[in-house]
Amino acid sequence: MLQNIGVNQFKMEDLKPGMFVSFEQVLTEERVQAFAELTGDYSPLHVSREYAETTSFGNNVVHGMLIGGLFSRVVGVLLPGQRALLNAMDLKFQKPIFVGNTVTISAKIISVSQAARVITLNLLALVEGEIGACAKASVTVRE
Amino acid sequence: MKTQSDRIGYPEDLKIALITGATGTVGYAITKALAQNGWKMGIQYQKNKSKAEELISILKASGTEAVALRGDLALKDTAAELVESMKKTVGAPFLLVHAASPQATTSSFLNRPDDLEKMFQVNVAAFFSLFAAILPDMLRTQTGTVIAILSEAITAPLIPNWQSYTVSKSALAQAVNEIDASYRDAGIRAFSLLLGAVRESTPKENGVPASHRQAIRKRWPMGLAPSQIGEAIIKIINDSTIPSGTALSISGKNEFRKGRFIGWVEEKNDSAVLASEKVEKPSESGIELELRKMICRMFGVAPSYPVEKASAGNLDGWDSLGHMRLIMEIESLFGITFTSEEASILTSFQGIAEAIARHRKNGNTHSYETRAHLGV
Repeated sequence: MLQNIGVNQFKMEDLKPGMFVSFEQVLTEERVQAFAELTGDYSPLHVSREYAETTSFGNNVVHGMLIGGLFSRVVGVLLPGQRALLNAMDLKFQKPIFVGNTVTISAKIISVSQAARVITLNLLALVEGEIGACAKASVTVRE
Repeated sequence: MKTQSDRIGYPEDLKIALITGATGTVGYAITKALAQNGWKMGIQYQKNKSKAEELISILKASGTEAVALRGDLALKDTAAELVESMKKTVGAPFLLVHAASPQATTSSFLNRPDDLEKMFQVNVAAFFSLFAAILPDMLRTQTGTVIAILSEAITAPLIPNWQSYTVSKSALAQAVNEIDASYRDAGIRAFSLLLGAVRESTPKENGVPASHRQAIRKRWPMGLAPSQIGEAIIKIINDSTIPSGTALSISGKNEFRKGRFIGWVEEKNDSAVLASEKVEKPSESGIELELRKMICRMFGVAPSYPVEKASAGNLDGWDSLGHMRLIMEIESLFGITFTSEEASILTSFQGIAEAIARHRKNGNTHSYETRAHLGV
């Protein structure tokens, strides 16, 4: 069951550069399996322990876009929340994140354009203090 | 993409700084400037205990929380120990200013290899070790700045036999570049600050020949007031439109250097003014030219397209989403913040050009750098 962390309802005028949110999630085998079923990405690197152990990774790697999905969660639920409309996301994967890892997802507003009703966010996925993935997101804040 | 709102600054609870070499002329000035701006402080020193105690007294008298951290950065474990001590007192640092350096005496790496090793340990290895110790907290909060104090001597080999010093400081400059490349996306900013001769700090008769001292004075006749260095640090920290990875040069001279050196500080009435604010802003015709290039690029039209007649509705792609992107680009490039009402009526090339000119005329622009001026 997904942890219900509430949905924020920030309005455009509430949003300021520097606003910051974060949460943690354990990337269990069940979650990765569910993502594979949802998307059809059954690459054995993600879902087959037997196969993963034969690779240099040694363990199942979490889908990169699952992390992207967690970034989407931050935007759509936390910052700004309900009024968010994701315009673009520039996502980079820096280090593999493995099944069983606890990932800390954080987002910080780095710019606000009141005129365009758009905010830009820096998004980070940290595992044991290291950057697993990062992204820059452009988000429209609906009225 | 930058807007006026990019002047994020530091949250109050994260204004905690670690200054190495704080009892030296430069570190001392930086410490005082930060204290005046509300920062808590960890001040590192190696030998000058009385100076450190004096500095702590001054800081505490002004209401600044501060701790003196004694340690020899030439020793490998010192950096981690310093940061641990600091975390137990004033807190984990989110700003590192690395001003510590062994004295720049004349030493060729051929005849005094020990000097080279020590310079690298203090200037480079200790910097990386300090950064590694403070990185987890910076990543956790997406907040952090590292500033390496360098010397303009690395830009031109004017001083013979300063190799140990200049080579190690050059390596430190590259260390800043590496940190920027690796952690800029995580919200961590890294800068080099290159100093010319600093008043009250010119090497005296401790192994530096008179000819060297003359060369220094000739190259940097004005000398820098230490307070200018403090002001420059504050400027770097507070103005997040200055791109991370920038190397800023303070020389008291008006020089523009290539590569990553994109700004300078002029000595003007004893106050430091970042020269990026003094860059000549585009003329009226320059605005239209930049705007024309932007519209052509954004909407994929040829340079020959009559852009001056373009408006929302008659240019393919200039729909509501396109308009939003255009407004954001204009705000970023020209350093303007439009209101929502303004943005909604700026639907033609002419209207936009006039609005930009109006904002400039009224002085409603903030510090910005145009790609045309920087060449980046």
